[in-house]
Amino acid sequence: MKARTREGIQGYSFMIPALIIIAVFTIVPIGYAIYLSFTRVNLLAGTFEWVGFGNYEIAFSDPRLRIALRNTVRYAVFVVPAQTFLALVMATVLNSGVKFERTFRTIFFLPTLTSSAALTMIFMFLFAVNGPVNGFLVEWGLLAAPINFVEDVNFALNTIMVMNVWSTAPLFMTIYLAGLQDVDKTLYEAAAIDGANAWKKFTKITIPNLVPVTNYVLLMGIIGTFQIFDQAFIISGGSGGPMNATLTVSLLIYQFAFQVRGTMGYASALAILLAILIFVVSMIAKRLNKEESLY
Amino acid sequence: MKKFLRLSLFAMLMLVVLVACGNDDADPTTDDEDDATEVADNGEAADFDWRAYEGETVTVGIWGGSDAEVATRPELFEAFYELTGITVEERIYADFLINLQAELIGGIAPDLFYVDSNVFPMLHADGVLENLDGFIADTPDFNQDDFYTPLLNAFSVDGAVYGIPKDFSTLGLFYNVDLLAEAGFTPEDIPDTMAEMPAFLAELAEGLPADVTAGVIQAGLARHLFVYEAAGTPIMDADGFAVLDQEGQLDYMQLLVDSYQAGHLATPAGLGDGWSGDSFGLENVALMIEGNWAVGHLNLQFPDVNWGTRELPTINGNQGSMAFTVSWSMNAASDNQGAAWLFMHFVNGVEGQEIMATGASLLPSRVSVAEEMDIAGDPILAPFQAAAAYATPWQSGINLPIVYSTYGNYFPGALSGDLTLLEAVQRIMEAANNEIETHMQ
Repeated sequence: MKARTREGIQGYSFMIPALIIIAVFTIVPIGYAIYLSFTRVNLLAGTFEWVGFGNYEIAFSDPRLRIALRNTVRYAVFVVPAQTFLALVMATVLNSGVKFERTFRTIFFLPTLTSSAALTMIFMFLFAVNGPVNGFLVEWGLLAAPINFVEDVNFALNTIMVMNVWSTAPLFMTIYLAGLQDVDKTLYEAAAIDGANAWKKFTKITIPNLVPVTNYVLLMGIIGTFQIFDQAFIISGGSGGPMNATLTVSLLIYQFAFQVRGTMGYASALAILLAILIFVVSMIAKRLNKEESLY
Repeated sequence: MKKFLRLSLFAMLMLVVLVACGNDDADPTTDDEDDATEVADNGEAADFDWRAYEGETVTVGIWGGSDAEVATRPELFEAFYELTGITVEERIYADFLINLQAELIGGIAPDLFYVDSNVFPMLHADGVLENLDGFIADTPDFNQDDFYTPLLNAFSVDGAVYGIPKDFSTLGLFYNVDLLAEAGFTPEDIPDTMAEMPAFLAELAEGLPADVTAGVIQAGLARHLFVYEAAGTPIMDADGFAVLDQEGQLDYMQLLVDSYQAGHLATPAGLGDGWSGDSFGLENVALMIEGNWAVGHLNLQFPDVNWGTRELPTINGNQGSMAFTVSWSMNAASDNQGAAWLFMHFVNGVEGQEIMATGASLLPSRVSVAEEMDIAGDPILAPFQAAAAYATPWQSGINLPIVYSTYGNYFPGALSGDLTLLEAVQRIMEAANNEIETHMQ
């Protein structure tokens, strides 16, 4: 008994540094945010007012939240499948033993290493009215007149989507690559003997064996896309414009937390709602992908 | 075993300290009057003692500013140190307002910091700015009347001063001499009234090469405010709600929208540039409406471009422009206010303003410094200096940030033609006022 207690104390002492960091930077802030979401608070002036579910009531009738949600969902619905599919294809190709595999891997990975702020600036240049993309499209007769991709209501969000797929797919590609190393080679050999072609092997062996990896990639993708902030912030200068086209939930939270005076409580309520939403969507995605059924 | 216990004890202590720090901010009891009387005790009016706080340190919270500012600031701090023996520690914030607010909430904000005129009403309402009247009264050679009145007013509430304008900027018209000549014009051909501008832009566009746009504009309320208010209707009513659709508010904005849709005006983003200064410097445009901060940028980055400046064309026969000004303000919770005031007195005094104005080509907020430096005799800066007399300060109550953000959201719709200008401003009013009503009461 005494030895067990000592062991316990020892164990906890080892964990204490991590526990303190988690407590200070994760648990306390989350608890504080939950508390703030029930108040009307001005942290600077130091005024607190308990409003119960008042902030949540406002949220459910807030037209801008509805727009932000619609944009965010539209974003996720396009970006998550696109980047997952692209990552899987790239990983499979790279894993098939093409020449210069390592070189390609490095090149593909570069966008992921670049900061998203810098990428957004580069994309804004590429997609500008006088930029190279428009120049190319007009030159080749694909467009009659250049399109203002960055400032046009119909294109601003799509531009960010394309950029995000391009910059995050390589990250997931490396995860898939690691997953592919674990797929048993004998399965492919057996399939080859049975006369399966490359497509059959890909759909019947590679994809099912990668389901746990895919689950992880989907989860990370969903969380990442639902929290999309920096690109939308830079492209619209923080306003979510043009005409709410790039207004995402995170950007809305930012606006209420830092740009509007005394709405930290409302921003906290929105953040809690977003967390719940991400949790629910992630669980649904996981259920749909049926990780357990394989084993 | 004992070691582990000690370690965990230490860790727990750290946690307690951290939490205690966090709690400080929940207590906002700062009383302006108390602090003012305190200062009256230790400052002697008769002979001002510059060495009274020798050996102390003041912290200042600022943003980086232009390269020239960054290069000149050490000179300013050095001169201050030599006079007073007080060391200046600067904290440069990347995201200024958010970082500053976080530090104010955490109770670790610097003794002094920049306050932009547009956020002044908000910070004042939150009670974080020190009333400076007591300090000014005890400093006979400070001479408050030497400052341009509209600039000082931007940081005053009911006659009490909460910030000293460190400098200011206004908007003017930049023109590219060579491009104008290429299109068959001289700078004198640029019209004096805004009403004539659309026709001029059209003619100019015709004469310019195909890849050069006639003019570049930044689309944002910070640039348009004076146009909406040109007919005398403020953009905020007495209750703090946005008003943008009244008689006379849109006439001149419509001209701008029409010229944009005709392709005679462009935004920097539309041209693929970071900001107007680059578009103008790269000779993608012949005309630009910008602040005097572009002067240093153009001289430094694009020394070969041949350009000049003039005052903005008149609206309804009246001159108009925007004035952007930033103050040095004092943290109401600072426990180092005596030394902080010495710093304020120095940097906002004649000598301090001269150092910054000479080194960083900022317009001094003191009339006497402007006169001594003969800014009115400088052909490039004179139009910006002249605008100080009539420019509208970038400030409009505590709800301005909401309207500003909403404006940035919907105004592009008017430029692109998805909305008419009237529809756009009505949406701005609806969205902004809805938010103000819900969250501000």
